[in-house]
Amino acid sequence: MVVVLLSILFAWPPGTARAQSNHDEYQVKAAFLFHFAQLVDWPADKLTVTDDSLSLCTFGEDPFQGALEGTVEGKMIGNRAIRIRHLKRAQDMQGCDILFFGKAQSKLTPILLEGLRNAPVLTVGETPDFLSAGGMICFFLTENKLRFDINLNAAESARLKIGSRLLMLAQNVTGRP
Amino acid sequence: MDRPGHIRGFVRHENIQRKSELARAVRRLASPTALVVLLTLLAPTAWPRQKPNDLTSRSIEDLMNIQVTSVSKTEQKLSQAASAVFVITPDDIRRSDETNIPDLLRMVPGLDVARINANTWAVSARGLNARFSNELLVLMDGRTVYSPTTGGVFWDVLDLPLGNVERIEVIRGPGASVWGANAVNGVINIITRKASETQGGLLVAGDGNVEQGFGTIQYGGRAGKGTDYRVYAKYLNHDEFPSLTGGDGGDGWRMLRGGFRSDSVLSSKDTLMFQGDLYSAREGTPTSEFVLTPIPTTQNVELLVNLSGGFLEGVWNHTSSPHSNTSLQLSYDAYKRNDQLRESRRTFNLDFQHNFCGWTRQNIVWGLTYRYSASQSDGILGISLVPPDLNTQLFSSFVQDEIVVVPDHLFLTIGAKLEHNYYTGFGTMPGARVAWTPTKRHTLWAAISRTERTPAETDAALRAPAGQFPGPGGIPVLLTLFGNPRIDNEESVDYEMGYRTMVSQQLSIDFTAYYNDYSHQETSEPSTPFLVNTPSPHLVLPLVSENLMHGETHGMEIAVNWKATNRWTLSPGYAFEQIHMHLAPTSQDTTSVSGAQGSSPVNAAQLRSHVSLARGLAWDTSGYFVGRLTDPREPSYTRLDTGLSWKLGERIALSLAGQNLLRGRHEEFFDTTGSSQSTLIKRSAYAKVEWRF
Repeated sequence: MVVVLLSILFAWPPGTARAQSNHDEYQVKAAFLFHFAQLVDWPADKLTVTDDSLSLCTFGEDPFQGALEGTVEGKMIGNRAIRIRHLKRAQDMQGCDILFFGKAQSKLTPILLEGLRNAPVLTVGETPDFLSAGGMICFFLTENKLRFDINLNAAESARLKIGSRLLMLAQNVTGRP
Repeated sequence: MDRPGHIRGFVRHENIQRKSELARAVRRLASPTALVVLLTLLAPTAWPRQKPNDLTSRSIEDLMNIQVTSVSKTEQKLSQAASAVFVITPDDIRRSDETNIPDLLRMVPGLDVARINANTWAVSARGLNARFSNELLVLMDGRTVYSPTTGGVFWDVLDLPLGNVERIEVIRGPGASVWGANAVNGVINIITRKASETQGGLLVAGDGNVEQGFGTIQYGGRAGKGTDYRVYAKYLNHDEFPSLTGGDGGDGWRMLRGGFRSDSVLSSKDTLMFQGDLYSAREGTPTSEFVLTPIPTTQNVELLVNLSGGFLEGVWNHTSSPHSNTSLQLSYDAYKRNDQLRESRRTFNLDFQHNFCGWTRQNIVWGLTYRYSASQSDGILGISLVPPDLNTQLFSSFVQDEIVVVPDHLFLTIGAKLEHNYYTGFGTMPGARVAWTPTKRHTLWAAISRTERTPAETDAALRAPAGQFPGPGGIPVLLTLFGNPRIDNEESVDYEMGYRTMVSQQLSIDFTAYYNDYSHQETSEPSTPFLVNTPSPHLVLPLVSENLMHGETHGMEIAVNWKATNRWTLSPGYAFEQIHMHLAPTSQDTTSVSGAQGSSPVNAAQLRSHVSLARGLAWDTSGYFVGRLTDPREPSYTRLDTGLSWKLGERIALSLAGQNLLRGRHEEFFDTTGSSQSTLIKRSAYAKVEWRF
């Protein structure tokens, strides 16, 4: 009886489910990161240092599970192609333009942010204390929709220029002039 | 990284094969059941895989309007763990409509949960269930909560507000070496939320035919920079269940508890957590007494048990570098229960743990534990501990190394635990685990571990009457359980393997199989009878604890999670287990073998369904089938719970729940220790309102 019931439930094609748009959190976050890359300007001297690619890095365990490679890698931001790197060690952060800190690394995040202070790296996180620890953009969920806050002080002291459209869309901006 | 193209190709090939198999099968078998089963096999892989549409082409405003589904970090990490892990998430807790922790644990395939009466449960992992099943390690935020007296858990007093639970991690099978002794068949780790995650006021109030008035009031706030706190109080009043003969079961209970938690960020490197709880309860406990005169009989006794207790815990976490993290944990625990043993106990515990990545491919964890526990007892109804007062110490240390053999693909974990306990001295528990993750969607793992169950105080010191009969010359004979001060550790060597796969974003499957080799299991051996003259002359026939049983268990567990549609999630599960025990030739035990073999069901299955309806309405249903038990003899039963919850904006939520709906009353488990009698679990319903302010 149970087997039959389970079987019927299993055999039900979930095609209807696919048609509706419900996306994995990290697929959407990946797309957000792509937009952040477009709407943020890095200081000119930073551009000359790095090559013609824009490095989007994750630190620690990769929560995107291939979503970055699937949707963002290779896309052009101006004349720079996005390159994805998954870092395991703090000393490898050299050369990153965008650095994403997942939930799993929340314990280490404050220390790493401390080390990145004033470096022209756009830091993006998803833990509640990320901005107070010195991060720049922090994701959060409201009724299953993604929102973000911006710490303008941190971005400005790193000489990153965050576009006005991004500032407008942010839920909260701390350090707004 | 995944190679989706490669996987797609593989699946297509498989489909062709399966389709032709299906055609042949349909011709051969007209049975609709077989067809449906075949369809099941076919279905998950037969759906066409679509290329995920490119979200980067959408505007950022569009992205902000997309509903996302999230997999918690822990879930992801656990999907690659080399052990049989099941995580109960806050969503699972909210959806389940269960009002207590043991009933919540029913959703874990491979855990045996049975309710003995209104305030007593029997919970074990992979068999050998009993009221004080002593092979399970239960922790709350890293603090051991099983009682060293019996090795079991007083589930009634583990009644924290479920909304404060961050998650419950359940590991079936021997815990990794980082866990302590007692983690023979499983570890249940209850993790509560940080104070920063429970800010604001919360009022929960509910009422029902069995849960006659329950509520929680809680406030979370911020005290200065970097410190969050919460304080709460919780009350419950549970009606008695019907007795086996139809009258009142005498097992109603009321409990009031209060507690707090504070989390402080001291610096970028240090965090400090404090928490504590105090409770007071009154429980009806139906039990029995053996009366010898005028004729030997068993008399029912209804005890009114007063319980009180509490704990205080502090944890200091220090991250000295990205590669090194230490934690120091201190706790003090005290309880008093005036049940048959009338015991009070105080336990002091100190834990230190250091985690460091010494080399790039290794992650080493080591730790030390010291525990001091003092117990006083003054038993009644013929039950006692000898000696009644005892202070014990436990020293424990462990080391575990997680080695990345092939980055992202092959992991090896080796570890060992060295422990010194009051009864059996030193013991070592080594283990090795390997996990292979060919792609991120698949994990295959295998493990071999040796574990020990160290004796609880009752194993060494109990005196408890277990039965009586008229003896030679009319002298009554009283069978009495005798603990044995020279009792040895129970040992087991466990072999496990598992496979976890994400068939798609919507479907995940977790499969585990195991074989355990038990030795030195406890038996009750009849010894030389002796004459006792008080209260009236009778012969005492001692049944002394010895380690004269060995055996094997094997089984498997499956847990599936399927997001059938956007709004509908189904979670079926199944567990199978067989236990075979054998006595040593010198043993004269007559009960332990059948008790060990028959106290857990061979088959258990479940299906949970969650539907999100429109406007904040959600409908949850769960069905649990539990196969029959042979010793204690219990028929199989199916439990059906359903609940409707309605979120009215951010602040108010209403819910209605019905439990055990299929039958008016049923029996689940009989406590063979006789310490607490079974009553009948009753059909019940409650309504609840939650208000955040």
